Amino acid sequence: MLTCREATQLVSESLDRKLPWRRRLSVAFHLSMCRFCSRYKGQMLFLRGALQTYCSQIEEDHLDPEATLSPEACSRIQGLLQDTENNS
Amino acid sequence: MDIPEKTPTLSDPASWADAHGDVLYRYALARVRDPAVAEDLVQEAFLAAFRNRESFEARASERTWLVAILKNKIVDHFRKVRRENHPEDIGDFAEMDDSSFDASGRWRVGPAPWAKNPETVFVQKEFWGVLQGCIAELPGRLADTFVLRELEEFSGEEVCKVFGITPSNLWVSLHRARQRLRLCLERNWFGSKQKRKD
Repeated sequence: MLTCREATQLVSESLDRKLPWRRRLSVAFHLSMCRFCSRYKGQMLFLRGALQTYCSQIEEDHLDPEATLSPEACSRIQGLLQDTENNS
Repeated sequence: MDIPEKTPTLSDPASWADAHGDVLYRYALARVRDPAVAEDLVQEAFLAAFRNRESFEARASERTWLVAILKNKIVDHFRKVRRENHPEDIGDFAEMDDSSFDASGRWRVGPAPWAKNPETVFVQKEFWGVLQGCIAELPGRLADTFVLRELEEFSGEEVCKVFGITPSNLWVSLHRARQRLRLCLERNWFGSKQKRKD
């Protein structure tokens, strides 16, 4: 019988690889009897979905509107690109 | 716009920093979590893009192309960080605190129930700020492996290769990162903010 500590590790692992069938079976058995661990699994799946949604929004400004490239960096990059262009 | 949409070509490189700088910077910052490093990576990406501008194909948008170049720079950065760290640091992964469970491996405090349909928070802008803040709070090495696996969607094998770690190290590390994120969201979103309804 798995402990909750082991079961949660395996729930997480199942997001990264296919568990061997014996492992899958013991996790399923544990989850069927443990409310906390099955809630944990639901939250892990939510997290995975949230991260995927987060990644699909990279071009949207609202993610972190205050994080902007500093004006110094911006003009430095412009300068570098211009120099490279002139020398090429 | 004087560029016809159907045949995208590259714009004047002098305009790249203005047009894409902020988006690339945010992308890099969310992944490397250090403003100075993020700025350097954006600069490197722009210069690499300029040198390889012949490789631009009209199939993708200019920004998608630039983001792809930036992604490579970010992975290079992680590889470099790995080389600069002592490989034995990896052992720390397994020894991190595990205070959620008691000595017999049972939950000390079990996960609290979250909202019935937690996905509804996806439309709330504030949620994404909290999630990003929680990722930023992960300790360095946990965050690096987590970012490559979950944000860059590398396979487990690929992440192991970049950091030179074994699969079991990686699984423990990702588990720890997810545990911390779960707790962070519970504390900062599902526990309190959600009820505030702002």
